[in-house]
Amino acid sequence: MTMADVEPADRELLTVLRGVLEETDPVPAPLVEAAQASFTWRTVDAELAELTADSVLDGAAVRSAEAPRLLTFTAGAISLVLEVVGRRLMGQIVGPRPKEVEIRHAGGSMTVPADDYGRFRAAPIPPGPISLACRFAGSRRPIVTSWVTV
Amino acid sequence: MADPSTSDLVRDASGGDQRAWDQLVERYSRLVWAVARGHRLAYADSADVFQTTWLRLVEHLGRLRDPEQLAGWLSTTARNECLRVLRMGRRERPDDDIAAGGDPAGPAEPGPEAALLADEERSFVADAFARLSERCQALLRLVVAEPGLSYTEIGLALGIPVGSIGPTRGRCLRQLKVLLEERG
Repeated sequence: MTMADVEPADRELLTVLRGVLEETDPVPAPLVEAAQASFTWRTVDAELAELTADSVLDGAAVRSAEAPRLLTFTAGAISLVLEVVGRRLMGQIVGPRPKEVEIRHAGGSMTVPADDYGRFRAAPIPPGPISLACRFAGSRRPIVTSWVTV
Repeated sequence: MADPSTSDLVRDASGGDQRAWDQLVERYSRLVWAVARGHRLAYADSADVFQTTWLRLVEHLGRLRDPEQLAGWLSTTARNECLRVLRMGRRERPDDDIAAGGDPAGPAEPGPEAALLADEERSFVADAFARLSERCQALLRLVVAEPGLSYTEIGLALGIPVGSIGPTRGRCLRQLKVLLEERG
């Protein structure tokens, strides 16, 4: 840290505290390994759809787990709307119809088809980070969404 | 040989170098964990925030405006994800997910903290820290996190004005010392 402006006695106390926290609340080793393994999700050919709206951030109250959560991801003119209810997921791509949608999560991935309107659904989704990859027929680049905890 | 700079590691990782990525994770894990643990989240939720933050970085490696600002980017991303998770309320967590083994959210082996600590002073400090306000705990976690954070980065991680960090740190340290004196 920038301890330049901390008095020597306080600096000593903070150093002890750092050691204490490293001992009592270390970063769990499996999490560090999982973070290192997450590099395999790197995509080089896909276009990123950023998270542009999240209903969980609207309104002040903590919501119940069963209230639907709406997430919108945008990549250029294409948007992808996801609805998460409990551990179920429904979505629609507004734009070209994807060939298939892959739901990527910490433990692996599942691939589901999209209907004529670009709609798809999947369940159950494991709690934790997810990202969707949509592949299209022809030469259009796939789209991957930003990762988000659901 | 000097440690590679964060910019070098970001550049190499965005080119596909797994070892550079591993080093980035090692260098900044403590920081991301400190932000996640400073937000009143359940242990499993902290683990989710930690994982999501690193996955976000995987997809953003080639898009960072200034790789030397990575600590600030990680702090902001982790904090925003903490806020989402706090707002989501309780999520279903099937127990059988954990049975699959390697569940990263599983708590570490339980054990009395005092037994882990090398000496009495450290156990006093651990005890006093646990009795501090949540705000002070969150701030001090970031103040001591390695690698060192600037005031701006701490402000981003906590969502507080930069100008209030110095005074708050002073107040939190005084509280910590009062609690330690009560024990001593």
